[in-house]
Amino acid sequence: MHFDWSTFALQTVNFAILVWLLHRFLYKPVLGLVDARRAEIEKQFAEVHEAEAHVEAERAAVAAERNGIAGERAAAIKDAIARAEQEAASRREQADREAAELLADARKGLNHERARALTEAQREALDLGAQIAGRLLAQVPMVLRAEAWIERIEHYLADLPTAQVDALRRQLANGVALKVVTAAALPADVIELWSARLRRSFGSDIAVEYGVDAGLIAGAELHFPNAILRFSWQTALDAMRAEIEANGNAH
Amino acid sequence: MRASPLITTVLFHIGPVNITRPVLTTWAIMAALALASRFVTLRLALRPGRGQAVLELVVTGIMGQLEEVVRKQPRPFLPLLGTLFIFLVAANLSGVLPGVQAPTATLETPAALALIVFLAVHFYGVRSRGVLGYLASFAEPKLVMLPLNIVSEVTRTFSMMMRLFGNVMSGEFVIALIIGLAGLFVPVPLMALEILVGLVQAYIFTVLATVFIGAAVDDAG
Repeated sequence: MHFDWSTFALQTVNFAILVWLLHRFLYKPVLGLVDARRAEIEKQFAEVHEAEAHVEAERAAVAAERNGIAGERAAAIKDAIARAEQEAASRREQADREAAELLADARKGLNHERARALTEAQREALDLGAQIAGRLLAQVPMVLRAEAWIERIEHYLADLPTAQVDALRRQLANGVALKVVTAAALPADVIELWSARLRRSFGSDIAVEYGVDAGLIAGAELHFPNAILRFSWQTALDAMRAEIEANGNAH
Repeated sequence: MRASPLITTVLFHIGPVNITRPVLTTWAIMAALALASRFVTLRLALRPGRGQAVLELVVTGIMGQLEEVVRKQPRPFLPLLGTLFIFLVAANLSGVLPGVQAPTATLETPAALALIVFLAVHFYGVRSRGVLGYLASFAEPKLVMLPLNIVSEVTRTFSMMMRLFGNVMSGEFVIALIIGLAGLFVPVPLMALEILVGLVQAYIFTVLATVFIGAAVDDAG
């Protein structure tokens, strides 16, 4: 057996050169291409993941926006309900207030109407009573009626202070007549009687005149130049009417 | 036909250097592999054609095999071990061609390959563990194992060399004998078997080299 050392050395070198050649022309290009393809695949994966992340982010944003819209809608509804309740409460208060005012006005008007009706009724009753009294009084003889009136006049004058009686007397000086007005004409004998009794109160030298005023209803009035003494029903009725009016206005 | 498979035929001399048939065949194989690699990698594209797909399949398949053995990133070992496998396949199968002697059928070529593997194992071991760390690995698991480990480094390489040489040489020798005794077409089944043996031996030699290198860098993390 022969071992050729030069062949051994050449084959060693040859193989080393072949390693370099294949590394240069085979492995390097192929591995470079594999790496490039892997990089491309990873890049595409990264792009896909990025796209997925983007889509996920968009989806999350849409979901958040949807939640926001729902929240805004709920808040708007809540706000609208609160405002509606506040408005309703305000209107209810206003309606209550207006109703109370209307009720007060109605009560006030009703009271006023009632007072006015009462006053009117009282006035009517007064007129009716006066009318009835006048009719009943008409059935009484004039002599008796005249006696009652002159007695009332005399009692009044008797109760007057002397100074006032003197003042009335002074108005009748110098021939000024005292005018006696009655609701109906007095008979002659009554006139005589009245004249005598009035002169007894104011002096025998006074002149007395008589007049008629149906508006007096009953009774008489003594007309001095500067004063009038009223003893008629008209005066009494006027006083009562005034009192009724005063009461009605008070209500 | 050769007179003896153990004698290397010198074709010519370049100065003091003998140019033998295995060297010439190796040059042819080197030229063919280099040109073929250059040719097929000229038009590489991201979307591979059929040829490029096969090429990528071969390279990535070798890388996959290396990774399974060394359990590490196989790229640093690919140029040496990948070239070893491709060259052995080409060299072993070249003996099937009429008038061509497989370079691995002579002792010098397997010895050269074994020497390179031997040196590579220590190179990768030292690079991975450092000089002291790698030398310390010879005393594992016990110090008493040091002589055996050192002897083992040589003998395993030697056995690897002899296995390759013996299988390829014997196959060619048997085929040559049958052709001489029986005729031209009789050894065809044996030639098919020789192809299978050549592929298997290329695989075994490469795997053993990978295992040795993997063991050398195993504890390097």
